[in-house]
This record gives sequence, C-alpha cells and structure tokens, in this order.
Amino acid sequence: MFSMKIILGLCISLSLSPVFASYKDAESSYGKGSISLAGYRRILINLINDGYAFAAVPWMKDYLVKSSGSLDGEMEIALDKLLTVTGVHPFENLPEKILNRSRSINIRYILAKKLFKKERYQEALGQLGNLDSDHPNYPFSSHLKASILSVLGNHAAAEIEFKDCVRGSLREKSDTKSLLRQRQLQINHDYCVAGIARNSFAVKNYDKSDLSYLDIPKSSYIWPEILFEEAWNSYYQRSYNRTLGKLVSYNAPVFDFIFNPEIDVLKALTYMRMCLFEDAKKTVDTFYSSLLNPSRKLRTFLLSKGKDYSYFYQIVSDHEQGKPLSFDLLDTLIKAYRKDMAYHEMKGSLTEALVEYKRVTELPRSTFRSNLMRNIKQTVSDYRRYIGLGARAYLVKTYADLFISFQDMSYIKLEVLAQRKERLYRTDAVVGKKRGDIQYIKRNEKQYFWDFNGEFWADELGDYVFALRSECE
Amino acid sequence: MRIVFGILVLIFCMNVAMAQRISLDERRAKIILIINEELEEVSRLAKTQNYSNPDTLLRMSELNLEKARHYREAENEKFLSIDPDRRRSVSKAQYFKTSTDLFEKANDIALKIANKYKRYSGLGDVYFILANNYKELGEHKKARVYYGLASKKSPKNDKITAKSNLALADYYFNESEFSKAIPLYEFSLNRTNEAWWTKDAYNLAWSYYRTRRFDKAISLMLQVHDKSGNAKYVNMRPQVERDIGIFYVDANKLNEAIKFYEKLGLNYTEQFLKIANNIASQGRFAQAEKLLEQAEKYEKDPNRRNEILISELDLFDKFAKIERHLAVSKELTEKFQKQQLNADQFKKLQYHVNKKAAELQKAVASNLYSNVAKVRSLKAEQSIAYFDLAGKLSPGDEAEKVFFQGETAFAAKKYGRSINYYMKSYDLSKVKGDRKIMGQSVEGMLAALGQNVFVRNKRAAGKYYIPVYTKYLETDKKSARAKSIYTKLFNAYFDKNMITEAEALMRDYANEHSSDLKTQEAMLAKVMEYYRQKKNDAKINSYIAAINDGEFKVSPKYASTLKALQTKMQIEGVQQSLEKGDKAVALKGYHGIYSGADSTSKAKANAAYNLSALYFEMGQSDASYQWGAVAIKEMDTKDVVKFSDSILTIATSLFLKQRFDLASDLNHRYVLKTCKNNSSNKGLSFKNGIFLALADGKIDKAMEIYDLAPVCQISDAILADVGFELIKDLMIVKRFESAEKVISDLERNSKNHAMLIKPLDDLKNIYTGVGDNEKVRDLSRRINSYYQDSKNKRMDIPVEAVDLVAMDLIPRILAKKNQIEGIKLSFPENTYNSLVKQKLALLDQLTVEVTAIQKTGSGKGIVAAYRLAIESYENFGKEIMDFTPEGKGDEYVVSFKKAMSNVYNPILMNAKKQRAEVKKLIENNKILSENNSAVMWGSDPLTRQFLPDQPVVMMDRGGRK
Repeated sequence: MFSMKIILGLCISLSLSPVFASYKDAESSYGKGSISLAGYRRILINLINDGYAFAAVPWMKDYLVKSSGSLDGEMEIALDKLLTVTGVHPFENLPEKILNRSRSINIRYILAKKLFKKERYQEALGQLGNLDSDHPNYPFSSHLKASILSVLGNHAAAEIEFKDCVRGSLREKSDTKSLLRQRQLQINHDYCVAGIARNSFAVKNYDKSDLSYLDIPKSSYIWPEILFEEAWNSYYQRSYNRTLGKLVSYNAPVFDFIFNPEIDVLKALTYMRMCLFEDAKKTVDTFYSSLLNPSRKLRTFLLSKGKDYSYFYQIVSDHEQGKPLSFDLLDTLIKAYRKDMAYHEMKGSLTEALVEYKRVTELPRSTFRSNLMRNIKQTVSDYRRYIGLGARAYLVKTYADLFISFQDMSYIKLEVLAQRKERLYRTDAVVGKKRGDIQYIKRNEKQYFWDFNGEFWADELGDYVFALRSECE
Repeated sequence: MRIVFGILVLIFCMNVAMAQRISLDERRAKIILIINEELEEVSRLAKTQNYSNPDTLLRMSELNLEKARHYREAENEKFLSIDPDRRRSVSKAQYFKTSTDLFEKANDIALKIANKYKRYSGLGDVYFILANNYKELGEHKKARVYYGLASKKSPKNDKITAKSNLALADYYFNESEFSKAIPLYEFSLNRTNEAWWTKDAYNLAWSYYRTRRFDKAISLMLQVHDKSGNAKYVNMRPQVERDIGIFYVDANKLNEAIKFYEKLGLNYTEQFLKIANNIASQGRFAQAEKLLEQAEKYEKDPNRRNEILISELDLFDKFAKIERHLAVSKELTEKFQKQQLNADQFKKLQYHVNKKAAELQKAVASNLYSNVAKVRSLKAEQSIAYFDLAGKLSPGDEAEKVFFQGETAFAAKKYGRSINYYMKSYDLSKVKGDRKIMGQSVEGMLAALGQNVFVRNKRAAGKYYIPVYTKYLETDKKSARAKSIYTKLFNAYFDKNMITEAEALMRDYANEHSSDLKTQEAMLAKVMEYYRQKKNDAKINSYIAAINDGEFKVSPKYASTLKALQTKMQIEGVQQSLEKGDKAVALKGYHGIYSGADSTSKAKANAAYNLSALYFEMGQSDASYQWGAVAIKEMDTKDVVKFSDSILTIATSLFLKQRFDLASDLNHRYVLKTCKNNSSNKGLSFKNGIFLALADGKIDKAMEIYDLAPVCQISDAILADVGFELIKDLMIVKRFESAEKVISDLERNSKNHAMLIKPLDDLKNIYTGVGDNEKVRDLSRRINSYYQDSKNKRMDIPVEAVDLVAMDLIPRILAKKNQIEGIKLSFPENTYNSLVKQKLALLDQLTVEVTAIQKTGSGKGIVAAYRLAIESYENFGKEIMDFTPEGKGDEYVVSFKKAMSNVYNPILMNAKKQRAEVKKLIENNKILSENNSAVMWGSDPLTRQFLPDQPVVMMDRGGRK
C-alpha cells in the first residue's frame, strides 16, 4: 500500500496599489541619458511617485544590482510602492544578495518565499521577523509565516498566525478600494481559513478540520480545490460515503475547469477502503483508459516545445480568444491555468502595464519617453514570459501529478486485487449486500443529507453523500 | 434396496468430492485470474516507471512465484491422477512446464533486481524470493545460499531475516546439524510469535535434545506444550506428549516423566510403550528395552504387564532379537494357555508367532543361508519352535502347524525329522479328515525320501519306505504316481523279506491296475523268481496256473518268458547230468525233452541241438547230422547263427569223414536258415556246400545251392569263387545253358571279365561247332571287349586268354604270307621290278601285323607270328636269289644276279635276325609253343621232341581217378 501525502499547497500572492510621482522631475533628472546612481535614485522615486511603476521596473532592478549599500528610507518607500503595483514577480528572480540590500517588507516577503521554497524555514521565518500588522502586506506575510510554522510542526503557533492572517485580511480588505486587491485579500483570507483546517488535519483532529473547512463558503474562489481537501478529511474520518459525495461534485459542469487527477485517485482509494473492489477497479481502469493516451500526448507536447515560453503564452492567449488547442487535455489544463490566481495577478499587471504604456505614449516626444516606452515593453514582455512560464510549469506539474496518479492508481488496483485474492484464499466471500442506504451516513451539525437525483445544483455541490455499505468483513 | 442406497450414497459422496474438487479448481482459476490481472497491472506500472523501480519489479517476481505455485499445485494433481503405470513413462517435465517457466521467470526478475540494484533496501526480500523459488524447484543448495543472503541483507528485526533463518535452521535440522540449527532457531523464535512458533520451537527442542542439552530441551518442550493450548498457535501437543518422554528418559528423569503424564491424566505405561516404540525406531534398541523393563517394574496391573510383553515382542521383532522374541512368545503362550490374555493381546501374540514362524521358515528356505548350515539350522529350530507355539495357540490348526514344522525341517535339509513331522501331521489330519493336509504331508514325505541323503543311504531310507508308501496309498491308489509307489512299496517289502505283504500288495495292484500288465509281470517275475530260488516249483506252478486262470493278466511276451522259464526248468536237470559227464543220462534226457508233450518248442530245439552236439562228441556222424538238421530246422535263426561255429564244425567233421553229401546238406540247410541274416558264416557255408556237392559229383545240388545266391545276398567274391568252378564242371558235363547262365551271372561284375575270356572262347567253339554264327559273333565281340577292357584297366588276364586273342590274329598274317608267295617273279625287267616292289610292300604289311601280335604279350601268338614272318622273308629272299631271267645273256644274268644279291641278302639277313630275336624271347620268357622248334631251328628234320619217362595219371577233383 502506498502512502498518500497531503501536501499543504500554498498560493501566496501579492498585489500592491499604484503610486503617483512627478514624471517631469524624472525626465529632468534623466537629462541626456548619462546619469549617475544618485540620478537613477531620483528618477526612480519620481517615476514611482508619478504612477509609472511598470516603466520603472527595469531601472529599479538595475539600481538594486548597481547600488552596493542598503536602500535609504525614501528609496525603500518607493520600492514598496512599486511592488504594490507590479507585484513581486519581476523581482523574484533577483539574487538573494541583491534583495538583501532592501529592508522593504515586500522584499523581505520575496526573500522569505524564496527561502521557504528552498526549505530553509528558519531563515524564512527570520526574514519575516516581527511583522508590522499595519503594513498592507501583513496578511500575506502572516499567511506565509503560518504556513512555515505549520510545516515546522509548530501547529499551535501556526493556528494563531492563521487566525491573525484571517483577521488581518478582513481588516485590510475593508481598508482598500481596489477590487483586485480586495479579491487578493479575500483569497488570502480563505486560504488562511483553510490553513486552520489543514493545521487541524495535520494534528489528526479531523472533526475540527472538517468544521474549519465548512467556514470556507462555496462562493469562495478556492472552494473547488478545498472541496478535494474536505474529501480527504472525510476519508480520514472514515466517512467514505461523504468523501465520494464530495468527489462526485467535481462531475458538475461548473467544475469543468478543475483538473486534478488525485480526485480519481481518492475516489478509487475510498472504494477500496469500503471493499467495493469492483468500483475501485472500475475507477482505476477508467482513469487509465481516459487519461493514459492524453497524458502521453501531453508529454510529447511538452518535450517538443521545450522552454519556448512565448509559445506557451501564445496558447494561453489563443485559448483566451476562444481558439481551439491541439488536444482536449491541453485545452482543459490551459482552462484550469487561466483560473489560477497567480495567472490573474500577472494578467492584471500586464493589463495595467499596457494602460501605463498608453499613458506614456501620450506624453511629449523625448528620449526619456522613448526609454520609458522601451522599459514598459520590456516589462510587458517579461510578464508574457512569466505567464508562459507559469503555463508550462502548470502543464509540467500536471503531467507529474498524472504520472504519480497513474502509479497511485496501479497501487490501488494492486491492493484491490490483493484483497480480492486474499478473500479467495479465505474461501468465503460477502454476498447479498444491498448498496445505498441512509443509515451508513455520518453527519455533523453543519451538514444536511441531500438526495442525489443525477442533477447538480450549485447550492448542493459538496454536500452530496453516497449511501454505500462497506463490503469489508 | 440396500444396494440402491449404497449406490446413492456412493453417488452422493462422489458428487461431494467432485463439488469440492470443482470448487477447489474454480477457486484456483479465479486466483490465477486475479494474479494475471495483478501481473498486467504491475507490468503497466513497471512500464510507466521505465522498469526502474525495484519495488515494482520485486512485486512482479512475487506474483510470478505465486502463480507458479498455483500452477504447480494443479499440475501436481493432474500428474498424480495419471495411472501409475502410465505415469512412469510420461515426461514429468512436460507436465510441470508452465509452473517451471513461471518459477524461472520469477527467478529471472529477482536476479535482475539483485544484480542491478545492489543497494536496494528490499534486497533481502528479493533474495528471500529467490530462495523460496529454488526451494520450490528442488534446488536446495541454491535455496540455502539465498536464504543466507536474505538473512544478511534484511534488517535484523525484519520478518524476512527471521523466516530466512528458520528456513536455514530447518535445513540444518534435517541434516542433523543441530548445533548449527540451534542459534538460527533461537534467533528467529526470539523475534517471531506466529502460529508456527510452536512447530519451530519443537524443532529447536529436538535440536537441544540431539546435542544432549536435555534440560533445555525439556523446558522448551514444556513451553511448546503450554503454548499449543492457545488456538493462536499450531497445536503440537500430541507430538510433545509423544516425545517429551524420550527426553525425560535420556535425562534420566523417569519420575518427572511419570509426573508429567499423570498431571495430564495420561497412562504413563502407554506413553512409555509409545516412547519405547519410538526410540526403537531410531535404532536405540538397548534404551527401548531398558525402558520397557522399567515400565514392567513399575507396572503392577497384569493386563498392562501383558501389554508391555507384547510391546517387547514388537521391539524384539523390529530388531531381530529372535531368541528374546521366542522366549517372550513362550511366556505369553503359557499365559494364553492359562487364559490370562485378552482377545487383543492374544491376537497380537498370534500374529507375532505366526509371522515369526513364517519369516524364519522363509529364511531357512532361502538361498541366503545355504552356505551357513549352522545359522540355517538355528533358524529352522526357532521356526519349528514358533510353529509349535502356533499349534498351541490354535489347537484346531495343529495338523497344519506340524506340517509346517515338517516343511521347515525339510528346507533345513533335516529330512528324517521332516518325515516324522509329516507323518505326525498326516495322522493328525487323518483324524480330522483333512484330506488337504494329508495330501500335502504325504507329498512332503515323498519329497524328503527322494533326497540324495536317502537315495545314497538306502539303509537310512529303509525305515521310512514302508510307512510312507503305505500312507501314500491310503490317499491315492489310482494315479500314475500311485503305480510307482506300489512298485516302490513292493520292493520295500521284498527288501525287508516281507513276501506275504508283497504278494498281497501285488494282488491289490492287479486289482487296482488290472490293465497294467507290465508292472504285474515285473512283480510276478520277482515273486516267481523268489520262489524259484527257494525251489518252490509248486508255488511257481500255482502262479502259472493263476496267470492261466486270468487272476493276473500278462502280455503274450511275458507268457512266452514264462514258458522259457518252464523250459529252463526242464533243461536244467539234463544240463546238470551233462555237466557231471553222464552223457547217457543226458542223451536220454534230451530225447525225453524232445519227445515230451509238455516240452516247449524252444526246449525241443535246444534238446535237438544238444543231441547233435552230444552225438558229434560221441563220433556218431549220422546221428549228429540228423539232430543237427533237426536243430537247424527248429531253432530260431538267431540261435542258429549263434551256434553256427558248432554247426559248421559238425559239417567239416562230416567232410573229413568223406560224408560229402551230409556235409554239403548241412551247409545247405545252414544257408537256407540264415539266408536273410547277416551271418559271417553264411558265405562260407554257401561255398562249402557247392564245392562239397561238386566234389561229390552232385552238380544239381551244387546248382540248387548256387541258385540261393541272389536271394541270400551272397557276395560277388564268393559267387566268382564258386562260379568259375561250376562253369568248368558244367562245360565238362556239357550243360552249356547252365554254364552260360553262370557266365552271365559273373559277367555282371567287370572284375570277372578277364577270367571269363576262356570260358567264353570255349562256348564260342561249341557254337562254332553247331554253326550258330550269330552266337559266335556275339561271343567274339564279348571276348574282344572283355580283353580290351581288362587290358585298359591293367587287370591280370589269364595267359590262355591272351593266347586265345593273339592266335585269333594269326590267320591274317598267314593270309599275307600266302599273298606274297602267290606272286611269282617274272621278266621282263620292269615287271620283275614291279613284282619285287609289290612283294616288299606286302612284307611290310605283314611285319606290322606281327608287331600287333607282339603287343598282346602272348608267347604262343608271338612265336607263331615270327614263324610266319621268318618263312615269308626267307622264301622271298630265296625266290630272288634263285630267279634267273630267261632269254638273257650270261653277262646280263651275271650282272643281274650280282645286282639282286644286294636285294635278297638284306632280306635273308633280316629273316636270320628275326629268328635270333624270337629264340631269345622264347628262352627269356620260357615260352612253350608248338612253333618253338620251327622258329629256333627251322625246318630241320631232326625236330626235338618231349618224351616222358613214365605214363601220366590223370585225377579228378575228388582225388578219384
């Protein structure tokens, strides 16, 4: 029997509000183009203050690289402003040494994320330090901090931090007028609620976890993916009929953008747990028959396109414009990718960058304007690259998930076969049991039993419960 | 109804069995189906993982192994269901092909893992699979290596380590390497607590025991016993209860053993008996025996004591302690006789006694001990003793058991004893009316009596003949064998001088086997001979009378023998007189026999011969001839041949006494009597008879005897001897036809041809005389033919015959001579010359003729031929010399004469030379010829003549004038 790992996925995103500064000052500082580092500083501060964040990105990165010392207070504020508009993506690939020159909360957040990814958890925590709860990035940083604590097994502290994140998100959301930022904060809030549930799950307090998950409304952006985690939780609660009920919700047309091979893996696993071997086997076989060839196509596709990120951006763009893609799975995955929050952020930044570009073109002709236009083009190009890279990364990850899922499915099938065989070795078998009976369903106070009549209703999604009797002896 | 029910039950049972079988097969098929699915899935998984995950490959190997086991199970069932006879000829490998392929596949995969993933954490599992695989394939050497590797490569506390060590321990255990097995068992048992713990611990306990660590062994056994009470474990209690006693015994803790068994409520005697059997089976006889002795000591209950004794029987039986076994058997048999054994004990005892008796008997009868007489004898005695006990245990079968004793003694070559047992068994079975045992006993007796020891030692056998044969005839009188037994018993009576019993047996035989004349005759002969020796003629005559009355039936031949006996008896008296030299009495006696009415023809012939002999001795030729003739007539030819010398002697004596006629007649009779027999004297008598007849002038008698020649197959040599003599006499008496017949008989043999030339010439002269020219020509042809033939074969030709042939050529020379002399010389000169030439040519021809006669070698002929040649030359020479041509002058004449001298001189000289030659021939070859004088001396008027001094007397063959 293989072991199923629960991966606590984190999707931490950051979106900052635009800032305004003096373009004229910037242009005058730029002069003839041969400027000093101090001149750079002046231009950047002015540009950012005048709302030309995307045009400032290349020069800001250049300044950070060239400036050997720490940033001064004014420059730190300017950088924070810039990050709030562009997001952290353009700076994420800067070396740690460079990033360390800034004491900006946003830069520390970037650094913490980088260290977290490198599993250098204590260092990551060190970057986050004592967060300033009034800082706009606080909800995101506290989310990251809670996650790191949870990974480190400090569940109690993690729970406190998650709850702080929930509160901070709500507070920050109420203080902002940007819809995008509101949405980001709502999503951050929901993830932190999920983090509380996940934290309980990690300490095997499944009942508490179950209740915590229910605090995420069905209207939440993250609910479709959280439903899968709920299914797992039910599974660990041995409430297999409920697991199956939650998983069946993914069959609803409204979830057609969801592509998660683990849904089928969990379904097969649940059937197996209930000793419904034929159902388990059927699930495995269906999985193989429906996804094996597409997965091979995906592999071939990825290998053939390599790291041509502009191509990947192009297919995302084509898909957005309703153009058909070369095979169904690719279509589904790109659709799913387009639902991803990170994509939305990058897409949003890209759009805003284009708006800024338009604004720059409307300025009087000058060398400085030309340089700004070139800078924005570079930034736009980078965003497209990030989108392409994100799409490819998603496809690669999905392929990896599929690869693992195929193995998981094989393991499940083998387990099913082993158990069937074991029964034959023991000679007697279970016969004459009826399937589907309400008495086998476990409920808690927040759940109601819904009869499933073959149709999916939005308000019923996630509440379906199977009534299968376990055939285990 | 019962049958129907039985069938129904059978069908039901078959259905149940079938159902179970089907169920089993179906289940196996389902399992295999699942394994196939698993294999399919694992293959898919392995492919997904690019065959780089050893876990998956290991699973694949495991599944192949599992599948292989199922197939092996099914194949095994199928293989075992084949008829055993057929099973031996089928290919086993073919039947187990599928499973073997699968095992090999599992093996291949496992080996690939082991070779490719040296640091694979599941390597222990892989090796464990390989080990199990090789174990399944019966390759235990490899299996052990892999169990070792599995143990080494698995974590210390892993199940695989424990299981591998257990497998290795089992190997050592099975090889009795207990000290190596112990640490492995200990290691595994400390780390496992599964159902099989008790079984493995049981093996460990045995290992302790085998290494003489008795306390540990007992302690562990007690643990196993304790744990076996828990359903979780395999129940080893029966084995522990069976074996712990052995441990206690060897640990010298018998009391603790008793306590152990008593605590369990078990009968310790029973346990000890089991243990004894058990350790006995290990070959530990002494300990088993000691244990039983102890048990016997502890046990007070008589019934259980009997059980111990029975166990001892088992023990002694197993270890071939026959003496001990026999002693215990005797003890138990006594108990049986005192009615102290229960039915089961009796049954076991009887089994042992019967088995042992039979085994020993078999051993005695086998070839194994044929060269170790002492051992065989001992075993025979033991077997006999067992049969004795068997008889006591089953009195109703005593006859049979005694019979077996007899058989055993027989097999041990104790034939005398065997006969005694057979006779006893015969008597016992006779009382019971058991004809089978009676028959077998009698067979045994006869077989024993037929052995060499009795054949060679009649004295030893003598005492058994009469009782044995008498018993046999009680069971069988009619068979062919019975006939033989009658004879043997008859002889046995005779040997014992029990004549009355023999006579009674003879009468019984005549009654039972009236048609068997031969045996009756033999018996009669023996009886009559007995009485003859006793000179009890009355008894003999009474038997002859009984035979004549038909009381005994005899063959004609026997009847004649009987007559011979009578004859013999008649002759015997006269013979005795003769032996005493009392010839007169003898003569009288023989005359009496010859003329006696009771005398047999043989006796009469005998008497006639003896009379002839007696008269011969007495010099009375006529009487001797007379009785000789009678004897030849009445005697068998065989006897005549037998006494031929005597008969011919009498005939010779008659010849010497000038009684040619009697002598010839006796020879003639002899030839007639022995005509068809191959007697050496037959030819001699034939010749003598003819010569004596011829001497006596009895040519007809001679011809009468001669005519017997072809019938009596007289040899050609004898026939020629007598034939030529007969021809001479027949020619003399002018019986030419008879002579011609004899000549004709002799002509058939070419060896006679040369000798026949003269008689043929004589005949020719006769026929010439009567003018039968045709006959003459025929005879001339035959003469010439026989002459040429004989000459070619270089046979001796009589001189007179040669002369005859040569003289036959003389007329031709004479004719030439006359022809030469008929030519008269005359002139003129040419004519003269021509005539001389003509004469000279004729002279040449004449000379050639002379040469031809010379070649015959006939003196007479040669001399005659020379005479004519000499005369021809001389006359011709003289004619030339004397010729004077007429009308010629002298000178011419002188000249002519002178010239002619050269012609006639050589001719005359040649004549002279020939005369000298022939003279020399005559002298050298002593030729006596009427022409001698003429050729030697010419036509001298004083021709020499032979004039005898006295007149010559001519005599005939008989010496008569």
